[in-house]
Amino acid sequence: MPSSLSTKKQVHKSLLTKTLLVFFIFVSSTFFIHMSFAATGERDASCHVLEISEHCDLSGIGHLIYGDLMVGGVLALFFHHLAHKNQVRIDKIINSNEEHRLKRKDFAVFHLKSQVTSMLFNLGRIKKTAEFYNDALKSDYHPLTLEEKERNWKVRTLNERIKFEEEKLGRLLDVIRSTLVGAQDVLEPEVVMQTDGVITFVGEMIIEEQQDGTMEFVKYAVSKKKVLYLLEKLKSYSAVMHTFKKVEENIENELNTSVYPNAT
Amino acid sequence: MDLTQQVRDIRKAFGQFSSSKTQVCNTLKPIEIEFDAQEDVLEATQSIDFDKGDVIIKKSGIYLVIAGPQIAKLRGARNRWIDFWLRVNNVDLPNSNVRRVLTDSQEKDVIPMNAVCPLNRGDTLNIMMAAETEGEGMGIEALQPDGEPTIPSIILTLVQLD
Repeated sequence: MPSSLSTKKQVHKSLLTKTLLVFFIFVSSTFFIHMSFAATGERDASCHVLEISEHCDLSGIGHLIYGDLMVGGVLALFFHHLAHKNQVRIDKIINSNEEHRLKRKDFAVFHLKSQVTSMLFNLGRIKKTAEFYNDALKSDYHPLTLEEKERNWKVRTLNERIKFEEEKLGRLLDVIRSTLVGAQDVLEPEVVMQTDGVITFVGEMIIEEQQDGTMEFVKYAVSKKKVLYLLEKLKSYSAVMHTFKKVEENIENELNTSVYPNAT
Repeated sequence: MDLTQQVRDIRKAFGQFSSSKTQVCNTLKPIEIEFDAQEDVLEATQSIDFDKGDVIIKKSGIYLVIAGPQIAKLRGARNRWIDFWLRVNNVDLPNSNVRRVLTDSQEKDVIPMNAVCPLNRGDTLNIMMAAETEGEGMGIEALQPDGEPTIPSIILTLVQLD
């Protein structure tokens, strides 16, 4: 806002300068014309320069003062009024644009926050489901018993669940990316870059099947840390000031205790 | 000036990481080089972290990355290449690759890698390596010479520039 105010001041200043310039050009040009006309005609020497009477012609300076200055003044006022009116309209447009931009920023941050939280939740669910799957796979059973049937059911269901969650994560990443693309003109480049980094990293994550058949969600711990850093940044956004607060970037313990302590 | 004051004055992130393990390319796919030690210099551990092969940035900025892998070949006598490059957020960093060709197990060398790149809080940096063949023990080697400090298989240094 201070920048828009200073811009407004500058516009007003330039407007006034232009009006004055027009006024002086008008007055000076007509002055010289009248002076030249006055110089050609004969005038009674007893008449005062500024005298207005029946037997005296109006002098060049008289023309300037009584005619041109008044006409110039009225014209200047008229032009200034028009320009001012126009300026008020432009100011309104600028203000409404700024308001619109801030609303879009608030909206984008709010949505990013909720989408990134969903992503964190989804990542945790994949990790947990993979653990359940591994437990089911390693569980003891006797062939052709109810235990085996239950184990097979668990393994199959959990495997499907992991795939479902993976697809969901993919969709979530698409949503976050489109939110980011839509709001990249209103968000700070640092936030855009950080979010983009997280999306890229999470998008490349894989659930690796080990030689013993178990699943491993590779780099889960690192991805969680990255997502928490991003959430910490998004949480520092103030809807009143429309800015991100400077986060103490080197305090690790604070992050661990304050942001989503129960996140898995 | 006491140490606490000195610690407070350090505003830029930096870190030095190394690995005391020999790491060999057992596959033709690119593999991540893992670290097992970080030099504990003042508050270095607070500004850059690591988790196996992932170096995690905690302060956004422009970073100078210098890595020196101690390359070696354990078997074979044919010319084989080995490449090293940087990866940020699981995506390869363009123009960061370096290559060295090794002939036999007697050859040992350090190939320097350097890059300047913007990194944000939470970004991960990996040093990747890939070799021409998987059966000749190509990779990075840690050595323990008598009466000398350990030669780590890789030394990685990161310094925040801005």
